[in-house]
Amino acid sequence: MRNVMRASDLNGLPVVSIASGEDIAEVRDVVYDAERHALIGFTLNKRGMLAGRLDGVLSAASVAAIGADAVMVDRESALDGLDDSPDLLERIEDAIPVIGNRVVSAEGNVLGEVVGVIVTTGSSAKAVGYEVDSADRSDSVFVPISEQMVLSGDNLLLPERAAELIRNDLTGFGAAISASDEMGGDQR
Amino acid sequence: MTKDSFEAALGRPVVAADTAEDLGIVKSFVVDQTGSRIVAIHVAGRGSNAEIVPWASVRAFGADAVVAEGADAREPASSERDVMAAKGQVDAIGSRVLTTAGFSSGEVQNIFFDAGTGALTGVLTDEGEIDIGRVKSLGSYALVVDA
Repeated sequence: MRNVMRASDLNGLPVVSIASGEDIAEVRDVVYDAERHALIGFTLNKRGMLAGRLDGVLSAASVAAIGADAVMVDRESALDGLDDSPDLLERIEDAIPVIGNRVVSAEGNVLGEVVGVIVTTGSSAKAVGYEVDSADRSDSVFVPISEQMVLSGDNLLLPERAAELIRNDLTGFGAAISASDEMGGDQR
Repeated sequence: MTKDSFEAALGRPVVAADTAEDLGIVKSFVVDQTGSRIVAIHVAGRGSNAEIVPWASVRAFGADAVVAEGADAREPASSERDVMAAKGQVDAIGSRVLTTAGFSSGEVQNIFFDAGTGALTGVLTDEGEIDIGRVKSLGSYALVVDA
């Protein structure tokens, strides 16, 4: 079974080098491309009191694994390759926000509002779902990310098949996504 | 192979082979960054005033005492690794265990080693034993082990 976690829970996690056992930075924020529903990477802070931010983005591809307790990189030099290219910064700047979008099902039901991104843990970390709070905030559900989703910045329109994988608990969602993957589902 | 452990060896007197004088006691161990062997024994002083005996100068690591090659085997901690260990920044015992997948996996309670060679042979955590082959590194933040 695949484990999943809220992207927001990655904030503040240490970035640890597998080769040295040292904590070399910590996650400041998760950088996410909502148009492509893809995890780009992480902005970082230096470790320790009064530590400032590091320039650039640690790309998801250069991360060895994401866990509940740390983001692992192979070696300390992973921080030498932080991407601060204008292309990337522009892409982040121009990205349509997904948080706050109204979630509408293919049948025209409003499920609520996107409050967070769900990512998989493990060595090929990626975004797999959104956490959606109901309009009255009384409960939340998890909807799977699929290529057929349409995002405008106001609304996130779900494809018809999405309903099958919607769960109201994160563990059940992780299991559903994982089962769907094994059956050749199109979740990314 | 004579199996020994960090926990059992702490406090053991360190004696010079040439003069028979006490050089100190086993206060802690300096382990290399890959977590594979003991590189020195911290025998006296603390922090930047710490004194160590390099493993290469250990003639015998016995069950009751450690015999060093000579009185001049004791030297000030000079390498960054020695100083960090002497300050307690890199201390295997009590270290957090982190898997290469980014999950915590308990805390180190004891380390086993071959008294003849200084090679580490196993790690005991509050969650069970870890085969030394799984250890990737020991740093100030964690002992990293294969998931």
